[in-house]
Amino acid sequence: MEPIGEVSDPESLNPTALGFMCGLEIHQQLDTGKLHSRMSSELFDFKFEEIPKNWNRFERKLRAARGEGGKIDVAARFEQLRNRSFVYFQSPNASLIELDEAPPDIHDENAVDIVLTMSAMMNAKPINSLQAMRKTVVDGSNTSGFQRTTLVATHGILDTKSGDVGIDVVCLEEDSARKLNSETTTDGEKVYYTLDRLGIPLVEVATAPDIQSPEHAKETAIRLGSLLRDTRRVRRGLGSIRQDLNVSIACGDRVEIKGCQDLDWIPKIIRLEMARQIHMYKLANQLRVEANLPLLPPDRSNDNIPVENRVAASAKSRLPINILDVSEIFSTSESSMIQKSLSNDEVVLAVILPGFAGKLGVKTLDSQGSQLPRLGRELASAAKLAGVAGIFHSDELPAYGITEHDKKSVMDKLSLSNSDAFILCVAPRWQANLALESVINRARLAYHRIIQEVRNVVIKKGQPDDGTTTAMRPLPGGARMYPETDVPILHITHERWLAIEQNLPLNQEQRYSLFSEVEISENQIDALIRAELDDIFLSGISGKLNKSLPPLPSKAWASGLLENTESISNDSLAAAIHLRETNLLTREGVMPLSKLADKSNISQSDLVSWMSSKIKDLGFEPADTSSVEGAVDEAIEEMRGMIDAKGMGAIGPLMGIVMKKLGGSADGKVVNSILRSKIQKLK
Amino acid sequence: MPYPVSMDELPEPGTSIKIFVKTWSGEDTHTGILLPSSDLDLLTIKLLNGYNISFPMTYISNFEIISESLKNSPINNLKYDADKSLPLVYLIHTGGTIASKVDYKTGAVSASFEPIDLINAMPELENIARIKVLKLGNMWSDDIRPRHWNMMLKATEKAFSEGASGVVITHGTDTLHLSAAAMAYGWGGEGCKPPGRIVLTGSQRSPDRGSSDASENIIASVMWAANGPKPSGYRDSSVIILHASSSDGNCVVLPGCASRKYHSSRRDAFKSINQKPIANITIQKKEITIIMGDYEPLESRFESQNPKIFNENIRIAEFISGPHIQSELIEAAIKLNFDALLLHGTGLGHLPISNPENDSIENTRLKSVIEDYCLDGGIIVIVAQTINGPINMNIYSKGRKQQEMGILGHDSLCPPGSALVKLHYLLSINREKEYIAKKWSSDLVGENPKFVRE
Repeated sequence: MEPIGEVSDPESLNPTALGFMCGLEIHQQLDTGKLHSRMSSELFDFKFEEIPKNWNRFERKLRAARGEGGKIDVAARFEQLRNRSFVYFQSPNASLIELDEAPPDIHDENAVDIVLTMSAMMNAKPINSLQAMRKTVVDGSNTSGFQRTTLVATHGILDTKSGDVGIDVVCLEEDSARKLNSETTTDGEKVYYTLDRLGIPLVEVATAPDIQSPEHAKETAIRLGSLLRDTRRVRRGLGSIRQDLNVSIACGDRVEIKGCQDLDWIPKIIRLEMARQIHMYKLANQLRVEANLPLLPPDRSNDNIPVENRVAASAKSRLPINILDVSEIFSTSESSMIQKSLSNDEVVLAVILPGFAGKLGVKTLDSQGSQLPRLGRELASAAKLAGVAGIFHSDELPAYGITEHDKKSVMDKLSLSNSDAFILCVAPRWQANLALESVINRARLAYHRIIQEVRNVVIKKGQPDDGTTTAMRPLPGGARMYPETDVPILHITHERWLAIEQNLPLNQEQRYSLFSEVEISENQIDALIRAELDDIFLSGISGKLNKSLPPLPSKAWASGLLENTESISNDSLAAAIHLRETNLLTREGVMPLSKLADKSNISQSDLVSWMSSKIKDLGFEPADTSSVEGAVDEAIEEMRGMIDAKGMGAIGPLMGIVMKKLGGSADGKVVNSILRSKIQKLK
Repeated sequence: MPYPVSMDELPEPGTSIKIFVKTWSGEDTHTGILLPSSDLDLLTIKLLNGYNISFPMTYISNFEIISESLKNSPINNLKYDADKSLPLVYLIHTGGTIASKVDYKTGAVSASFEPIDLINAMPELENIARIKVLKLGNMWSDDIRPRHWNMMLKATEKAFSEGASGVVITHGTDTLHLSAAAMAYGWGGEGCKPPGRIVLTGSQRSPDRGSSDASENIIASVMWAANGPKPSGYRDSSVIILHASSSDGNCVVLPGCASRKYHSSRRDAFKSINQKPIANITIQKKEITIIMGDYEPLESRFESQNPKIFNENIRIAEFISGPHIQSELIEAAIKLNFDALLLHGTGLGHLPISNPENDSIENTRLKSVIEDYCLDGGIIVIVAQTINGPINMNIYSKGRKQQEMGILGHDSLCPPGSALVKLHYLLSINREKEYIAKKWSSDLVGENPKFVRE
């Protein structure tokens, strides 16, 4: 059945009717040291200009690994021609291993345990013998030229409210180096990386294509993220989790979309991709009708390979790679950008797309402001594989300073009819040639169903721009993986697995249920669980935290934990709160005294007696209520005039006077309430 | 009970199969391509997603063949049309993984020595030299013995007889400096020089990875073999070329007679000892440039057509001086008729042979064993376990005593690895102690210069 729905209204598309298939891939950093070196996972938040001068730097190149063979595509040839080199800054947590100057260590045992735990939580089956693999990476983000990745478990299940989603694989991999900058030099391109992030363990969870709808994809991402966080052993914060989507509909094919960090955008991104796949399918058939070629079946599973080969041959003969120099036409162009390029020895090259006029499309927005799919944008992505900034195509001209007259001149020079389209590329000759070759290759594919590829969400200012994506590269197959022979196979014993299964972490629901008897506010419960302070809270109020203390009062202990912004140890904090609650310590004294105890390394059982001995000297002894009342009376006497004038507004200044009289040893809260009641009585 | 499958029942590697496994984690099935096993009791398949997974054979309860193995078609039918105007360079392979490649289908690493594969991997070579290839073996360099030095010497002789401007010996890095020294003494030890350039190179990162140092090392080596200065026979009879630093883009040319591996894993693992590098070779976008150091060909030597071959029956016993060296070991070597003893002395070349506190009878025993052996005409040579710096047995009375006892080695800057090869070389010519004594302090190929500048 032909795909139904309006491309211009992605919200109206019906996933089930379109044969929607979707899976999710999540990468989450684990809160351990690095996976294959024993360095810490500390991140150094430096920008390129801020990298300390004393960090060593190393310059390397990556060569296409020998024997990888196959045909050399535009991206690979561009890679050769652009002569890219990589500069690595050696952060303090980068050893010879991160520099690719020493063999890797075996897997970090904690990281393995965490991933086994996650696997057990998803009912996945562990692999008995863990074998690290090398996944080839060519962008320099790994000093070795590959990423180490280990398959840990398969065949799990994630329960979501809308239904079960299968878990295909759970893997343990290394995170990549962090890109800081790139620049073009006369000798080629230089890309700068810092090595602080390289090697941090990531769990990769890939679901089966069981996701039922764009909304279900978002739900699955949220569910999966929260399950991973339930281990309490993952890193939090910006960049610690990344989501990729795999999306297809019957008339399209599988596309991997990277950069879906903001989960709220997921449904929209998916719907726009569905619309794109329908648009490209319809366009292909339109082209086929005009060329008298057999139509594409609406479902890719009915594709007929000999027919597709015939169409490919026809497309190739219709769209030869015939690149022409039209620089001369633009020697007097009004476009300052083209003028500037020409004066830099660049050229304007053109290719013809016969019969493509009107098929490339112009920028049109849907009702929500997202760009609608169009071939022109795909061709531009293809050109960008050769490193050019973009292309001009005839459907969108005149624009960008290229006039109707310029357009006409090009059409005359290329002897084009009104049904033909052309593409221009302004760049150094070698690069423009490469870019236009790539454009023609992509244009030929317009006669077919969309190809399997990796796409990137268009990001502007750290946010998805409008939910659309651009092509990045063909979908890599399993072919880029081979064994990491430097890391021995890690055998998981049954005992280890049993220990993992028997010690699974609590989930959110179970955690909330532990608060059923606790008298603190919902907000505080939420805050404690979110900050992962609930375990320590519960052990404090049950008296298990420190055997020499009685159970702590819930409210005071919860506030103490939530207000602890200075990483004071739980033991010191508990002892101080206990003293405060028994009225032996002022509220103001809690944090300073705890800090002092931390610094002095006092043992848990001695904390209370040690703190008690310090309270007086430090001036944190609470004044008793009668002396507070005396001081308040004195102050009221002295400041009567002000009280009469300001009423309750006098409390502020009076507080200061009373506290001074009591030498700082009073509890501000107590002073305040006594002052308040006495002033009220005056009236 | 699962029915265990035996290795013999499995189809050939490359076959697509579905396996049924029963392990402690339950029953499961996996589909993928059967791989050649690295371990007799382990079955490994490559899953569609690229991961390899392995199971002990006892876990495999059954399997189904999905499709037969696809015969690998030849990777390419390209022919290597060498430019006849370019200098001929022979690549002599002894092993190591420097010329290996990965089969991305199975993940297996195999070796390829075809010139066309080298040119495909390193297109730069095509414009530098006409490449011919000779395979001597596939050895880890730690397994190399003096007989293999002779094989290398004969291979270089063959290459030069065919008009090669230079040869590049690809070699595992562990003992690369010893083979390099062997080439230097073999061709130049008797005051001669080889007819062409001899380069030894290797790699510290295997070539399957994008970050490998192998390509730059080979390109720089072929560059030197084709276009380096004609060897003078002094310091440059053989050279070692590897990375100059941890960064790419710069390789260093070291004297084969006086260098060694000083780091087990870094790219810049090799350093010249007691002397400076001969040159650097930079590899830029389009240009490969030889930058000579302060290199002066000091002697005019006679060009040899045949290298001197090492006597493969010579046996040398090596010992390291220190708190644990015992006379019994030395005595055993003497009894076993080793041709010479090479002792790695501490500091300027010392052994524990005095007993100042009268509490270490081992030292006295060691002294008397050595004394007796030397009196009998036995050959003991001291080298520096400090690696850098001279052996000088004139400074302390200990050293002077050792000389009196008849221990050789005084007044030499020859690094210990090169010294082992030098000793073997000299013993191959003449096993008399007087001869060794006379030759030891001489500077045969640049291994023992008159002064240290480093």
